[in-house]
Amino acid sequence: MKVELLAPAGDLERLKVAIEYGADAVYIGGKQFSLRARASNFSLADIKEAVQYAHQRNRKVFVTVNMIPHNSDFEGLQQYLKQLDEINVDAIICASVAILTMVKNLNLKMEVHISTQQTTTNSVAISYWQNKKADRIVLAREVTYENLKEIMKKTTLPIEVFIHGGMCANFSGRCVISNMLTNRDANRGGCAQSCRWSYHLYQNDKCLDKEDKLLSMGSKDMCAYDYLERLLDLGVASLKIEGRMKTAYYIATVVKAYRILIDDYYKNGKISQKKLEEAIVLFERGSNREFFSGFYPGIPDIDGQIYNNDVQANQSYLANVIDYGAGIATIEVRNYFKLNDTLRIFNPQGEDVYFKVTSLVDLDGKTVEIANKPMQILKMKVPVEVNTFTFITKS
Amino acid sequence: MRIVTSVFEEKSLLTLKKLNVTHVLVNELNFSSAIKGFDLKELKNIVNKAHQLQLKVIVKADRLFNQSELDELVTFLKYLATIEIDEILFSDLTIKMLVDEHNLKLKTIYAPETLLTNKYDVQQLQIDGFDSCVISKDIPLVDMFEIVSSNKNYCYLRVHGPILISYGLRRFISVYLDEFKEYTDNYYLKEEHRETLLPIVEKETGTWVYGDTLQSISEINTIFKQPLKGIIIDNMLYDDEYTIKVVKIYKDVLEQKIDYEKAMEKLSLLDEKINYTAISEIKKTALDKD
Repeated sequence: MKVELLAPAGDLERLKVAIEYGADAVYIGGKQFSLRARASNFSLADIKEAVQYAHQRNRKVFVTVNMIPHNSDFEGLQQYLKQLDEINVDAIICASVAILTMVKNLNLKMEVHISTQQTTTNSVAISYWQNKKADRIVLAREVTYENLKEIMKKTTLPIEVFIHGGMCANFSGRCVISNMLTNRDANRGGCAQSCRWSYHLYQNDKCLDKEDKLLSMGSKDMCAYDYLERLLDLGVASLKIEGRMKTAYYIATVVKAYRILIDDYYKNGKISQKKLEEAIVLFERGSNREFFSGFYPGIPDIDGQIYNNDVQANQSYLANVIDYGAGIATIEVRNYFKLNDTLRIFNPQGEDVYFKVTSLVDLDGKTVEIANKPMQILKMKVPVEVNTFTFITKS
Repeated sequence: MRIVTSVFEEKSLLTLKKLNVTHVLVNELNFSSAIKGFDLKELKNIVNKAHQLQLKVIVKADRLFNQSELDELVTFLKYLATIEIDEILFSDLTIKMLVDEHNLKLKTIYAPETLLTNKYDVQQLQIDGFDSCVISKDIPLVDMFEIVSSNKNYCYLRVHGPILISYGLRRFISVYLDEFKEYTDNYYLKEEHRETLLPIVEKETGTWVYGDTLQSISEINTIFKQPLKGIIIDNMLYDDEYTIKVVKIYKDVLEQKIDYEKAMEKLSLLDEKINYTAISEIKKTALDKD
């Protein structure tokens, strides 16, 4: 059984990008009952369209119903679950035994995956969910590779693990720092990421701050490509990329990178150095935060922490293509570039194409020297055929 | 109604008993979040002493357990059954599964801190054979009461003690300071733009961050009218002297010897460094900035 590459999407555009760049499945949030309240979530009509788009391409769609629900959150939930099932959603991801039981009692055909919010860290805890007829477990990110190896020997339930993306400082689902400091509920979609803020450290009344930095609990992002081959050897069911709030370009780069590595593994039995280098270039292109391998090597030390949360904006993504014909791409500008710059065409399939901007005009046909107005529509000559999933980036 | 309080010293048992405490909550050092508590030998002793006073003993083992710790955890649970503790309070459902698998005579209290926020999940726990549970502390009192009335004589409510707001495996203090410090409970975080002190406890097995200390003085009479299994006063960061004084204050309020204002005045005088949040102040959280 081949591993599933599971990507996030905050809206239909990003779902389509994830699929075109190689995701086997995409997880999305509805407008209700989902974490990531600000991830421009999907209406039921959107979910229906997403499922149709995915199923036509033999891919899957999972819907997050992963808030830790309060009493009132159950109002309308049963109806919502039935609707998701009717539109052929493949699975829901939930963090509540009551919701799992509700789906099973309703005899719905969609699967139920237990969210990482339930902090499952060992095979005995997995057996609880297996007894309750859960279809898959998303393990806590805190499981080390050595422990995962043992877990895989002792469970028959499909196991999903994180491979890439943002990390909570502490156990997801067990943290309410955001609730305490901002009244925004970390477990119901409103996390303010207070763990990434800076804190003074005291012992009794003595301040222990360092001169150059305050303490932060903030984590580097996970990028565990160095564990990918071992995870595939173990037979995990699914590799999850975190980030329903990330941009389409981020999703494209990360998904394509893992697609390259996974395909190489299944083709050659291992991942080649050449493909690894290709993937690393993509990881670096899409991200603006530092990486580490998460908990796979063990409990993180200082190499897993970020004390300065001043994230630099990633400006390598310059434009997306909204139309193409006869060698001319109609583009929507996202970041600054100018005539005669050498740019890159980044496509779902195939290698990158580099070209010099020799012709750049506005919709009136007037030459534009500098593209510096975000969302401006321009036309430019491109050397190869492009489509709406193409990204124009810095070279 | 069961009245449960933390205890750290054997000599406090009799005083707590006289104050109508029915159960004492003791921390096992290795398997709990606590940095103050008992090792296995001391645990046996405190169980015996408590039982002599007709006090029941609840052992707290509230860490989350990784795969490599399971054998050690089973040995521990078997030991607890041998020394005849009365109940075990835990936040990892692994313990319930192991108790069942090994047919151990241990009553289970599931206390996953943040996860029990609705009546339906609690109903499922009853169906699954958990003996009782502790409702999450981060929901409004009205929600707590709705859960309790739908699950009569099943739930414990934390009414007093430091509020755990985060738990993880990273060792934030040691990593920041570049050295392993002596494990003490005297560390605090203070967010750079806020005044609130957040106690932070680090052990080899993880880090726990706390917020204010919860208090339920003005609501304790209402709470006592609810069909609860019990209330918990868990002062894991403080000592028995503080706990005994706190219990006396609640007892005086319940017996109408002092009013709420006087009780709050007494409470605030116990330790001026402690910031309190009333249980009635825990609001329904917003989902977003809007």
